[in-house]
Amino acid sequence: MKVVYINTQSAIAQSAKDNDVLYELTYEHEAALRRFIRIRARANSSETEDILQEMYTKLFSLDGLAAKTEERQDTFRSFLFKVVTNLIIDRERRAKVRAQEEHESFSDTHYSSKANEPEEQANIAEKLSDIEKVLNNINPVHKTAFVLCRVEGKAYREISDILGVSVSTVEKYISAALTAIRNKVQN
Amino acid sequence: MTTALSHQKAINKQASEFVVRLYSGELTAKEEERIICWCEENEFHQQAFDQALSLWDMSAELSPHVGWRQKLEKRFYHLRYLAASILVFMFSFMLFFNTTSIDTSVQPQLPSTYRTAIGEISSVGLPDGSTISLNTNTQINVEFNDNYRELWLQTGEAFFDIAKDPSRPFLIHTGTKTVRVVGTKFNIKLSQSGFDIAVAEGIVAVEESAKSGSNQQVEKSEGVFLEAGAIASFNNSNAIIAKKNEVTVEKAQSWRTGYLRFDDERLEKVIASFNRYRTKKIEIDDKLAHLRISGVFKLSDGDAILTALEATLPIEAQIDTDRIILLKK
Repeated sequence: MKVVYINTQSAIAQSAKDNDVLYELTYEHEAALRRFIRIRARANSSETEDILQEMYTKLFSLDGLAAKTEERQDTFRSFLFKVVTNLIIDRERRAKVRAQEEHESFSDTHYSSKANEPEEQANIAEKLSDIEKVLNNINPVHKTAFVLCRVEGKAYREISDILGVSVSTVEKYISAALTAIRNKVQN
Repeated sequence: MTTALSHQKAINKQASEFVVRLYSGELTAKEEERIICWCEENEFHQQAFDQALSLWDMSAELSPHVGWRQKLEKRFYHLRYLAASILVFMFSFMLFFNTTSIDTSVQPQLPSTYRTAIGEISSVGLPDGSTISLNTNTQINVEFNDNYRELWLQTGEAFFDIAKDPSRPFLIHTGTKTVRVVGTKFNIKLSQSGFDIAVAEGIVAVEESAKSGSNQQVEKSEGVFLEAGAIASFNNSNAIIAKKNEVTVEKAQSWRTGYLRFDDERLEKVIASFNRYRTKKIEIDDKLAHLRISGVFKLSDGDAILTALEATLPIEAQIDTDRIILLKK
Protein backbone atom coordinates (compact mmCIF):
# COMPACT_ATOMS: atom_id res chain seq x y z
CA MET A 1 0.00 0.00 0.00
CA LYS A 2 1.23 3.48 -0.81
CA VAL A 3 0.86 6.21 1.74
CA VAL A 4 1.18 9.82 0.66
CA TYR A 5 1.96 12.40 3.30
CA ILE A 6 1.26 16.03 2.58
CA ASN A 7 4.03 17.09 4.87
CA THR A 8 6.27 14.08 4.80
CA GLN A 9 8.93 15.36 7.13
CA SER A 10 6.72 16.01 10.11
CA ALA A 11 4.52 12.97 9.51
CA ILE A 12 7.50 10.67 9.71
CA ALA A 13 8.85 12.47 12.74
CA GLN A 14 5.45 12.18 14.36
CA SER A 15 5.12 8.47 13.65
CA ALA A 16 8.65 7.80 14.92
CA LYS A 17 7.79 9.65 18.09
CA ASP A 18 4.53 7.70 18.37
CA ASN A 19 6.44 4.46 18.02
CA ASP A 20 8.77 5.48 20.83
CA VAL A 21 5.83 6.29 23.05
CA LEU A 22 4.12 3.01 22.13
CA TYR A 23 7.25 1.05 22.78
CA GLU A 24 7.65 2.63 26.18
CA LEU A 25 4.02 1.94 27.06
CA THR A 26 4.22 -1.64 25.87
CA TYR A 27 7.57 -2.46 27.40
CA GLU A 28 6.09 -2.58 30.87
CA HIS A 29 3.80 -5.43 29.76
CA GLU A 30 6.46 -7.51 28.03
CA ALA A 31 7.02 -9.94 30.90
CA ALA A 32 3.27 -10.61 31.12
CA LEU A 33 3.01 -10.91 27.34
CA ARG A 34 5.86 -13.43 27.15
CA ARG A 35 4.18 -15.54 29.81
CA PHE A 36 0.88 -15.30 27.96
CA ILE A 37 2.45 -16.33 24.64
CA ARG A 38 4.32 -19.26 26.21
CA ILE A 39 1.07 -20.73 27.50
CA ARG A 40 -1.33 -19.69 24.77
CA ALA A 41 0.83 -20.70 21.80
CA ARG A 42 2.87 -23.34 23.65
CA ALA A 43 5.80 -21.46 22.20
CA ASN A 44 9.47 -21.88 23.02
CA SER A 45 11.53 -18.79 23.73
CA SER A 46 12.52 -18.01 20.13
CA GLU A 47 8.93 -18.42 18.90
CA THR A 48 7.82 -16.21 21.75
CA GLU A 49 10.22 -13.47 20.66
CA ASP A 50 8.99 -13.84 17.05
CA ILE A 51 5.40 -13.34 18.11
CA LEU A 52 6.36 -10.39 20.31
CA GLN A 53 8.17 -8.84 17.34
CA GLU A 54 5.13 -9.36 15.12
CA MET A 55 3.05 -7.67 17.78
CA TYR A 56 5.25 -4.57 17.72
CA THR A 57 5.03 -4.44 13.92
CA LYS A 58 1.26 -4.67 14.21
CA LEU A 59 1.09 -1.97 16.89
CA PHE A 60 3.26 0.41 14.90
CA SER A 61 0.98 -0.05 11.90
CA LEU A 62 -2.09 1.12 13.84
CA ASP A 63 -2.64 4.83 13.35
CA GLY A 64 -2.94 7.09 16.36
CA LEU A 65 -2.64 4.19 18.79
CA ALA A 66 -0.11 5.98 20.97
CA ALA A 67 -2.51 8.82 21.76
CA LYS A 68 -5.39 6.45 22.41
CA THR A 69 -3.24 4.27 24.63
CA GLU A 70 -2.11 7.11 26.82
CA GLU A 71 -5.73 7.73 27.71
CA ARG A 72 -6.49 4.08 28.37
CA GLN A 73 -3.50 2.75 30.29
CA ASP A 74 -5.71 0.70 32.58
CA THR A 75 -7.02 -1.56 29.82
CA PHE A 76 -3.98 -1.51 27.56
CA ARG A 77 -2.75 -4.91 28.68
CA SER A 78 -5.99 -6.66 27.75
CA PHE A 79 -5.84 -4.90 24.39
CA LEU A 80 -2.32 -6.26 23.85
CA PHE A 81 -3.53 -9.75 24.76
CA LYS A 82 -6.22 -9.43 22.09
CA VAL A 83 -3.71 -8.39 19.45
CA VAL A 84 -1.41 -11.26 20.39
CA THR A 85 -4.28 -13.77 20.43
CA ASN A 86 -5.18 -12.81 16.86
CA LEU A 87 -1.56 -13.14 15.76
CA ILE A 88 -1.36 -16.60 17.33
CA ILE A 89 -4.60 -17.73 15.69
CA ASP A 90 -3.31 -16.48 12.33
CA ARG A 91 -0.04 -18.36 12.81
CA GLU A 92 -1.86 -21.55 13.68
CA ARG A 93 -4.05 -21.18 10.61
CA ARG A 94 -1.03 -20.64 8.38
CA ALA A 95 0.72 -23.65 9.91
CA LYS A 96 -2.36 -25.74 9.16
CA VAL A 97 -2.46 -24.59 5.54
CA ARG A 98 1.24 -25.40 5.16
CA ALA A 99 0.66 -28.87 6.57
CA GLN A 100 -2.16 -29.39 4.09
CA GLU A 101 -0.03 -28.21 1.21
CA GLU A 102 2.59 -30.77 2.07
CA HIS A 103 0.00 -33.53 2.02
CA GLU A 104 -1.95 -32.49 -1.05
CA SER A 105 0.80 -31.26 -3.28
CA PHE A 106 -1.24 -32.02 -6.41
CA SER A 107 -4.56 -30.47 -5.60
CA ASP A 108 -5.18 -26.75 -5.72
CA THR A 109 -5.08 -25.88 -2.03
CA HIS A 110 -6.65 -22.51 -2.50
CA TYR A 111 -9.60 -24.09 -4.13
CA SER A 112 -9.98 -26.76 -1.47
CA SER A 113 -9.69 -24.32 1.44
CA LYS A 114 -12.31 -22.12 -0.19
CA ALA A 115 -14.59 -25.09 -0.63
CA ASN A 116 -14.38 -25.73 3.09
CA GLU A 117 -15.26 -22.24 4.03
CA PRO A 118 -19.07 -22.19 3.80
CA GLU A 119 -19.24 -25.43 5.70
CA GLU A 120 -17.00 -24.08 8.42
CA GLN A 121 -18.98 -20.85 8.53
CA ALA A 122 -22.21 -22.77 9.06
CA ASN A 123 -20.52 -24.82 11.73
CA ILE A 124 -19.40 -21.70 13.60
CA ALA A 125 -22.80 -20.06 13.30
CA GLU A 126 -24.40 -23.15 14.79
CA LYS A 127 -21.97 -23.21 17.70
CA LEU A 128 -22.50 -19.53 18.36
CA SER A 129 -26.24 -20.06 18.63
CA ASP A 130 -25.55 -22.98 20.98
CA ILE A 131 -23.35 -20.75 23.13
CA GLU A 132 -26.08 -18.16 23.21
CA LYS A 133 -28.61 -20.74 24.36
CA VAL A 134 -26.33 -21.82 27.19
CA LEU A 135 -25.79 -18.21 28.25
CA ASN A 136 -29.54 -17.61 28.38
CA ASN A 137 -29.95 -20.43 30.86
CA ILE A 138 -27.23 -19.70 33.36
CA ASN A 139 -27.05 -17.27 36.25
CA PRO A 140 -27.61 -13.85 34.61
CA VAL A 141 -24.72 -12.33 36.53
CA HIS A 142 -22.35 -14.97 35.15
CA LYS A 143 -23.71 -14.28 31.70
CA THR A 144 -23.29 -10.51 32.01
CA ALA A 145 -19.71 -10.85 33.21
CA PHE A 146 -18.95 -13.18 30.30
CA VAL A 147 -20.63 -10.96 27.69
CA LEU A 148 -18.93 -7.81 28.98
CA CYS A 149 -15.62 -9.60 28.74
CA ARG A 150 -15.90 -11.50 25.48
CA VAL A 151 -18.38 -9.45 23.43
CA GLU A 152 -17.75 -5.93 24.69
CA GLY A 153 -14.07 -6.59 25.26
CA LYS A 154 -13.95 -5.06 28.73
CA ALA A 155 -11.06 -5.76 31.10
CA TYR A 156 -11.79 -7.65 34.33
CA ARG A 157 -11.24 -4.48 36.34
CA GLU A 158 -13.82 -2.58 34.30
CA ILE A 159 -16.32 -5.40 34.76
CA SER A 160 -15.62 -5.35 38.47
CA ASP A 161 -16.50 -1.65 38.50
CA ILE A 162 -19.70 -2.20 36.51
CA LEU A 163 -20.95 -5.10 38.61
CA GLY A 164 -19.62 -3.78 41.91
CA VAL A 165 -17.78 -6.98 42.83
CA SER A 166 -14.11 -7.79 43.25
CA VAL A 167 -11.90 -8.75 40.32
CA SER A 168 -11.47 -12.28 41.66
CA THR A 169 -15.27 -12.64 41.78
CA VAL A 170 -15.44 -11.44 38.18
CA GLU A 171 -12.96 -14.17 37.26
CA LYS A 172 -15.18 -16.75 39.01
CA TYR A 173 -18.28 -15.55 37.13
CA ILE A 174 -16.59 -15.63 33.73
CA SER A 175 -15.04 -18.99 34.43
CA ALA A 176 -18.41 -20.42 35.54
CA ALA A 177 -19.97 -19.24 32.27
CA LEU A 178 -17.15 -20.72 30.20
CA THR A 179 -17.46 -24.04 32.04
CA ALA A 180 -21.21 -24.11 31.40
CA ILE A 181 -20.58 -23.47 27.69
CA ARG A 182 -17.91 -26.15 27.52
CA ASN A 183 -20.17 -28.70 29.24
CA LYS A 184 -22.96 -28.17 26.70
CA VAL A 185 -21.23 -27.21 23.48
CA GLN A 186 -19.02 -29.91 22.01
CA ASN A 187 -16.16 -29.02 19.77
CA MET B 1 -20.75 -43.42 33.63
CA THR B 2 -21.86 -40.64 35.94
CA THR B 3 -18.47 -40.58 37.63
CA ALA B 4 -16.78 -40.37 34.23
CA LEU B 5 -19.09 -37.48 33.36
CA SER B 6 -18.44 -35.61 36.60
CA HIS B 7 -14.73 -36.25 36.14
CA GLN B 8 -14.93 -34.64 32.69
CA LYS B 9 -16.84 -31.72 34.19
CA ALA B 10 -14.14 -31.23 36.82
CA ILE B 11 -11.53 -31.15 34.07
CA ASN B 12 -13.62 -28.66 32.09
CA LYS B 13 -13.96 -26.45 35.14
CA GLN B 14 -10.22 -26.46 35.77
CA ALA B 15 -9.53 -25.69 32.11
CA SER B 16 -11.95 -22.74 32.17
CA GLU B 17 -10.38 -21.36 35.32
CA PHE B 18 -6.94 -21.54 33.74
CA VAL B 19 -8.10 -19.80 30.56
CA VAL B 20 -9.75 -17.00 32.55
CA ARG B 21 -6.61 -16.59 34.68
CA LEU B 22 -4.45 -16.58 31.56
CA TYR B 23 -6.41 -13.62 30.22
CA SER B 24 -6.32 -11.73 33.52
CA GLY B 25 -2.84 -10.46 32.67
CA GLU B 26 -1.81 -11.01 36.27
CA LEU B 27 -0.55 -14.56 35.96
CA THR B 28 2.36 -15.38 38.27
CA ALA B 29 5.34 -17.61 37.49
CA LYS B 30 3.88 -20.20 39.85
CA GLU B 31 0.56 -20.23 38.03
CA GLU B 32 2.27 -20.51 34.67
CA GLU B 33 4.07 -23.58 35.91
CA ARG B 34 0.83 -25.05 37.27
CA ILE B 35 -0.99 -24.59 33.97
CA ILE B 36 1.79 -26.10 31.92
CA CYS B 37 2.18 -29.05 34.29
CA TRP B 38 -1.55 -29.67 34.30
CA CYS B 39 -1.77 -29.63 30.50
CA GLU B 40 1.21 -31.94 30.12
CA GLU B 41 -0.15 -34.37 32.70
CA ASN B 42 -2.36 -36.12 30.14
CA GLU B 43 -3.98 -35.59 26.78
CA PHE B 44 -7.46 -35.03 28.25
CA HIS B 45 -6.21 -32.02 30.16
CA GLN B 46 -4.50 -30.58 27.09
CA GLN B 47 -7.62 -31.23 25.01
CA ALA B 48 -9.89 -29.57 27.58
CA PHE B 49 -7.60 -26.55 27.74
CA ASP B 50 -7.45 -26.20 23.95
CA GLN B 51 -11.22 -26.51 23.65
CA ALA B 52 -11.83 -23.97 26.38
CA LEU B 53 -9.49 -21.61 24.50
CA SER B 54 -11.27 -22.23 21.22
CA LEU B 55 -14.71 -21.53 22.79
CA TRP B 56 -13.20 -18.45 24.41
CA ASP B 57 -11.99 -17.19 21.02
CA MET B 58 -15.22 -18.06 19.31
CA SER B 59 -17.43 -16.28 21.84
CA ALA B 60 -15.86 -12.97 20.82
CA GLU B 61 -17.95 -13.35 17.65
CA LEU B 62 -21.26 -13.46 19.51
CA SER B 63 -23.57 -10.77 18.24
CA PRO B 64 -23.89 -7.91 20.69
CA HIS B 65 -27.56 -8.16 21.63
CA VAL B 66 -28.79 -5.00 23.23
CA GLY B 67 -31.12 -6.80 25.58
CA TRP B 68 -28.36 -8.75 27.26
CA ARG B 69 -27.02 -6.02 29.43
CA GLN B 70 -30.03 -3.88 30.05
CA LYS B 71 -31.93 -6.48 32.00
CA LEU B 72 -29.15 -6.94 34.47
CA GLU B 73 -28.36 -3.28 34.82
CA LYS B 74 -32.00 -2.74 35.70
CA ARG B 75 -31.60 -5.31 38.45
CA PHE B 76 -28.65 -3.41 39.79
CA TYR B 77 -30.54 -0.15 39.62
CA HIS B 78 -33.12 -1.71 41.89
CA LEU B 79 -30.34 -2.69 44.25
CA ARG B 80 -28.99 0.83 44.08
CA TYR B 81 -32.36 2.27 45.05
CA LEU B 82 -32.53 -0.20 47.90
CA ALA B 83 -29.02 0.72 49.07
CA ALA B 84 -29.82 4.41 48.76
CA SER B 85 -33.01 4.10 50.76
CA ILE B 86 -31.19 2.18 53.49
CA LEU B 87 -28.56 4.93 53.61
CA VAL B 88 -31.21 7.64 53.81
CA PHE B 89 -32.88 5.73 56.58
CA MET B 90 -29.61 5.36 58.48
CA PHE B 91 -28.73 9.01 58.09
CA SER B 92 -32.10 10.19 59.31
CA PHE B 93 -31.73 7.78 62.21
CA MET B 94 -28.31 9.20 63.06
CA LEU B 95 -29.51 12.77 62.60
CA PHE B 96 -32.36 12.12 64.96
CA PHE B 97 -30.07 10.91 67.69
CA ASN B 98 -27.47 13.58 67.00
CA THR B 99 -29.96 16.39 67.24
CA THR B 100 -31.32 15.04 70.46
CA SER B 101 -27.92 14.91 72.11
CA ILE B 102 -26.12 17.94 70.63
CA ASP B 103 -27.59 21.39 70.20
CA THR B 104 -28.57 22.39 66.69
CA SER B 105 -25.63 24.67 65.79
CA VAL B 106 -23.29 22.72 63.54
CA GLN B 107 -20.16 21.95 65.50
CA PRO B 108 -16.93 21.13 63.70
CA GLN B 109 -16.59 17.43 64.24
CA LEU B 110 -13.56 16.04 66.02
CA PRO B 111 -11.01 14.61 63.61
CA SER B 112 -11.62 10.92 63.07
CA THR B 113 -8.57 8.68 62.90
CA TYR B 114 -8.13 5.72 60.57
CA ARG B 115 -5.09 3.49 60.60
CA THR B 116 -3.82 0.24 59.14
CA ALA B 117 -1.41 -2.24 60.71
CA ILE B 118 1.66 -3.58 58.91
CA GLY B 119 0.56 -5.73 55.98
CA GLU B 120 -3.00 -4.43 56.07
CA ILE B 121 -4.66 -2.58 53.20
CA SER B 122 -7.97 -0.94 53.88
CA SER B 123 -10.47 1.38 52.23
CA VAL B 124 -12.26 4.17 54.07
CA GLY B 125 -15.46 5.70 52.72
CA LEU B 126 -15.89 9.30 53.87
CA PRO B 127 -19.27 11.00 54.31
CA ASP B 128 -18.74 13.24 51.23
CA GLY B 129 -18.45 10.19 48.99
CA SER B 130 -14.65 10.21 48.76
CA THR B 131 -12.79 6.96 49.18
CA ILE B 132 -9.33 6.74 50.71
CA SER B 133 -7.38 3.50 50.33
CA LEU B 134 -4.79 3.12 53.05
CA ASN B 135 -1.67 1.14 52.31
CA THR B 136 0.27 -0.75 54.97
CA ASN B 137 1.15 1.00 58.23
CA THR B 138 -0.70 4.22 57.45
CA GLN B 139 -2.57 6.71 59.58
CA ILE B 140 -4.87 9.55 58.57
CA ASN B 141 -6.99 12.03 60.50
CA VAL B 142 -10.04 13.51 58.85
CA GLU B 143 -11.99 16.61 59.73
CA PHE B 144 -14.86 18.08 57.70
CA ASN B 145 -16.55 21.43 58.17
CA ASP B 146 -18.72 23.71 56.03
CA ASN B 147 -15.79 25.29 54.18
CA TYR B 148 -13.14 22.63 53.96
CA ARG B 149 -12.59 18.93 53.93
CA GLU B 150 -9.27 18.40 55.69
CA LEU B 151 -7.12 15.33 56.05
CA TRP B 152 -3.75 14.78 57.70
CA LEU B 153 -1.59 12.02 56.31
CA GLN B 154 0.46 11.16 59.40
CA THR B 155 2.40 8.14 58.16
CA GLY B 156 2.46 5.78 55.22
CA GLU B 157 0.80 5.90 51.83
CA ALA B 158 -2.73 6.43 50.59
CA PHE B 159 -4.66 6.56 47.34
CA PHE B 160 -7.26 9.31 47.22
CA ASP B 161 -10.43 9.16 45.17
CA ILE B 162 -11.94 12.51 46.04
CA ALA B 163 -15.60 13.26 45.38
CA LYS B 164 -16.27 16.51 43.51
CA ASP B 165 -17.43 19.38 45.69
CA PRO B 166 -16.28 22.78 44.36
CA SER B 167 -17.75 24.57 47.36
CA ARG B 168 -15.58 22.61 49.79
CA PRO B 169 -11.99 21.99 48.63
CA PHE B 170 -10.27 18.90 49.95
CA LEU B 171 -6.97 19.71 51.71
CA ILE B 172 -4.40 17.04 52.48
CA HIS B 173 -1.69 18.04 54.93
CA THR B 174 1.62 16.21 54.79
CA GLY B 175 3.62 18.20 57.31
CA THR B 176 5.33 20.89 55.29
CA LYS B 177 3.07 20.86 52.24
CA THR B 178 -0.63 20.97 51.61
CA VAL B 179 -2.24 19.29 48.64
CA ARG B 180 -5.41 21.02 47.51
CA VAL B 181 -7.96 19.35 45.25
CA VAL B 182 -11.58 19.61 44.23
CA GLY B 183 -12.28 16.16 42.79
CA THR B 184 -9.58 13.83 41.52
CA LYS B 185 -7.66 10.60 42.01
CA PHE B 186 -4.05 10.38 43.14
CA ASN B 187 -1.56 8.58 45.33
CA ILE B 188 0.61 10.05 48.09
CA LYS B 189 3.46 8.18 49.73
CA LEU B 190 5.32 9.77 52.62
CA SER B 191 9.08 9.28 52.66
CA GLN B 192 11.87 10.19 55.09
CA SER B 193 12.44 13.59 53.55
CA GLY B 194 9.04 14.50 52.14
CA PHE B 195 6.56 12.72 49.90
CA ASP B 196 5.90 11.36 46.42
CA ILE B 197 2.70 12.07 44.58
CA ALA B 198 1.29 10.34 41.49
CA VAL B 199 -1.77 11.84 39.85
CA ALA B 200 -4.15 9.42 38.14
CA GLU B 201 -6.99 11.78 37.27
CA GLY B 202 -7.75 15.50 37.42
CA ILE B 203 -5.51 18.24 38.75
CA VAL B 204 -4.00 18.76 42.19
CA ALA B 205 -2.23 21.78 43.64
CA VAL B 206 0.68 21.43 46.05
CA GLU B 207 1.25 24.44 48.27
CA GLU B 208 3.35 25.41 51.26
CA SER B 209 1.43 24.69 54.40
CA ALA B 210 0.19 27.85 56.05
CA LYS B 211 2.44 28.35 59.05
CA SER B 212 0.88 29.75 62.15
CA GLY B 213 3.06 32.83 62.31
CA SER B 214 4.16 36.16 60.99
CA ASN B 215 5.05 36.28 57.31
CA GLN B 216 2.55 33.75 56.11
CA GLN B 217 0.96 36.18 53.65
CA VAL B 218 4.27 37.33 52.22
CA GLU B 219 5.63 33.87 51.64
CA LYS B 220 2.46 32.45 50.23
CA SER B 221 3.62 30.89 46.99
CA GLU B 222 1.40 30.11 44.05
CA GLY B 223 1.81 26.41 44.46
CA VAL B 224 2.62 23.76 41.91
CA PHE B 225 -0.10 22.32 39.74
CA LEU B 226 0.12 18.68 38.76
CA GLU B 227 -1.99 17.15 36.03
CA ALA B 228 -3.03 13.55 35.46
CA GLY B 229 -0.02 11.41 34.66
CA ALA B 230 2.36 13.52 36.71
CA ILE B 231 4.74 12.05 39.22
CA ALA B 232 6.44 14.42 41.60
CA SER B 233 8.66 14.23 44.64
CA PHE B 234 8.59 16.94 47.27
CA ASN B 235 10.97 17.37 50.12
CA ASN B 236 11.01 19.83 52.94
CA SER B 237 13.17 22.32 51.06
CA ASN B 238 10.63 22.57 48.27
CA ALA B 239 12.48 20.64 45.57
CA ILE B 240 10.26 19.16 42.91
CA ILE B 241 10.93 16.54 40.33
CA ALA B 242 7.97 16.27 38.03
CA LYS B 243 7.53 14.21 34.93
CA LYS B 244 4.64 12.87 32.96
CA ASN B 245 4.53 9.12 33.00
CA GLU B 246 1.28 7.15 33.05
CA VAL B 247 3.00 3.81 33.46
CA THR B 248 4.65 4.85 36.68
CA VAL B 249 1.41 6.36 37.93
CA GLU B 250 -0.27 3.02 37.34
CA LYS B 251 2.58 1.25 39.12
CA ALA B 252 2.52 3.65 42.04
CA GLN B 253 -0.97 2.51 42.90
CA SER B 254 -0.59 -1.19 42.09
CA TRP B 255 -0.70 -2.01 45.81
CA ARG B 256 -4.41 -1.17 45.77
CA THR B 257 -5.17 -4.33 43.83
CA GLY B 258 -3.26 -6.45 46.33
CA TYR B 259 -0.41 -7.06 43.90
CA LEU B 260 3.09 -5.70 43.61
CA ARG B 261 4.58 -5.52 40.15
CA PHE B 262 8.28 -5.33 39.32
CA ASP B 263 10.00 -5.02 35.99
CA ASP B 264 13.69 -5.71 36.08
CA GLU B 265 13.98 -4.08 39.49
CA ARG B 266 16.95 -4.36 41.86
CA LEU B 267 16.38 -7.05 44.47
CA GLU B 268 17.23 -4.56 47.19
CA LYS B 269 14.32 -2.36 46.14
CA VAL B 270 11.93 -5.29 45.72
CA ILE B 271 12.65 -6.53 49.23
CA ALA B 272 12.24 -3.02 50.66
CA SER B 273 8.80 -2.83 49.02
CA PHE B 274 7.83 -6.19 50.44
CA ASN B 275 9.06 -5.36 53.93
CA ARG B 276 6.54 -2.54 54.09
CA TYR B 277 3.85 -5.24 54.20
CA ARG B 278 5.59 -7.67 56.52
CA THR B 279 6.04 -7.92 60.25
CA LYS B 280 8.71 -10.57 59.83
CA LYS B 281 11.21 -8.58 57.78
CA ILE B 282 13.41 -9.94 55.04
CA GLU B 283 17.09 -9.02 55.12
CA ILE B 284 19.46 -9.49 52.22
CA ASP B 285 23.15 -10.05 51.91
CA ASP B 286 24.81 -7.00 50.30
CA LYS B 287 26.23 -9.26 47.64
CA LEU B 288 22.69 -9.94 46.40
CA ALA B 289 21.44 -6.35 46.34
CA HIS B 290 22.28 -5.82 42.68
CA LEU B 291 20.41 -8.89 41.34
CA ARG B 292 17.38 -8.06 39.23
CA ILE B 293 13.91 -9.56 39.12
CA SER B 294 10.59 -9.14 37.27
CA GLY B 295 7.20 -10.44 38.25
CA VAL B 296 3.81 -9.87 39.79
CA PHE B 297 3.42 -10.91 43.39
CA LYS B 298 0.29 -11.22 45.43
CA LEU B 299 0.72 -9.45 48.75
CA SER B 300 -1.46 -11.91 50.62
CA ASP B 301 0.69 -14.83 49.50
CA GLY B 302 3.16 -14.15 52.32
CA ASP B 303 6.22 -16.26 51.78
CA ALA B 304 5.47 -17.08 48.13
CA ILE B 305 8.01 -14.40 47.21
CA LEU B 306 10.72 -16.50 48.89
CA THR B 307 9.84 -19.55 46.83
CA ALA B 308 9.87 -17.44 43.68
CA LEU B 309 13.23 -15.89 44.55
CA GLU B 310 14.80 -19.23 45.39
CA ALA B 311 13.53 -20.66 42.13
CA THR B 312 14.79 -17.87 39.90
CA LEU B 313 17.91 -16.50 41.58
CA PRO B 314 20.97 -18.08 43.18
CA ILE B 315 19.52 -17.44 46.61
CA GLU B 316 18.80 -19.37 49.75
CA ALA B 317 16.33 -18.20 52.38
CA GLN B 318 17.27 -18.80 55.97
CA ILE B 319 14.18 -18.53 58.14
CA ASP B 320 14.79 -17.46 61.73
CA THR B 321 12.17 -16.85 64.37
CA ASP B 322 12.09 -13.09 63.97
CA ARG B 323 13.49 -12.49 60.51
CA ILE B 324 14.32 -14.05 57.16
CA ILE B 325 17.80 -13.73 55.71
CA LEU B 326 18.53 -14.16 52.01
CA LEU B 327 21.97 -15.60 51.38
CA LYS B 328 23.98 -16.35 48.29
CA LYS B 329 23.77 -20.01 47.38
